[in-house]
Amino acid sequence: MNTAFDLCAAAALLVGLFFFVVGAVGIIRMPDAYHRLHAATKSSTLGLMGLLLAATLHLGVSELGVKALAVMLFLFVANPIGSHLLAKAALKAQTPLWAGTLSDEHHEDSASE
Amino acid sequence: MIANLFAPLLATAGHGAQTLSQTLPQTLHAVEPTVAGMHPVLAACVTLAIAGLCLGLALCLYRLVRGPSLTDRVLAADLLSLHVVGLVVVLTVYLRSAVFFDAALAVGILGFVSTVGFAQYIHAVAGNAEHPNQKAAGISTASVSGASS
Repeated sequence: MNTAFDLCAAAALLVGLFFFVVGAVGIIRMPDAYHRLHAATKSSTLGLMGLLLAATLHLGVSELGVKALAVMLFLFVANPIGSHLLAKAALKAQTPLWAGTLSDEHHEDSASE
Repeated sequence: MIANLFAPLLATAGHGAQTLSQTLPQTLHAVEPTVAGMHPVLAACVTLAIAGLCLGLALCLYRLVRGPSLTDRVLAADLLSLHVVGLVVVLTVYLRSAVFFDAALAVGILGFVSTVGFAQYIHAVAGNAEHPNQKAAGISTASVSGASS
């Protein structure tokens, strides 16, 4: 039973690690700030889910499980809010777009108003 | 248990002149007891996770230093704090104790609040074209006036 839990924890750990590494590579490889926001925030949220799941599986359902759930809920709310605010601020600050951008609807909308 | 974990680090710091190949066997031996109760696959995954998260920290630091605009830097700092949360969670798995779990929540909240604060700052600086720090946010005055007209 313990072995099964440990193996599940190992799998969750690997999934979380995969998403974290993808996010970190994305923040390096993506061409502009908006792409980087897109790459970093979603993958890190999901990656942390995996790691927290691994911790819960490994230590068993206890006070730690509740704490992990609290951290999960908090991050599920906080991470999108933070990235949304950051994206809004980047648009307001006219952070330059990637040269290969095909359509910039935000700029068109604000110009037509 | 915690002293066990940090003892090899302190020992390594003591022998500055020793090469890594000489100190590494001792280090592994000293860390072994805490891993003993763990399934070997999980132990390997924990090691891999620590290595991967440290790699991610390095990449975030690169973006933090290099980032062309302030937005990139703030985003890199946010991702950095999330990586630290991940490392704390992996440490929880490694040590089999929930002592550090509050630290994960604290670092998460701190990262979120600082991201929101910096976002508000970028927003405020962008709205005020006369602000001395406008270059830091990557603003060109001509495009700001074009967008607001």
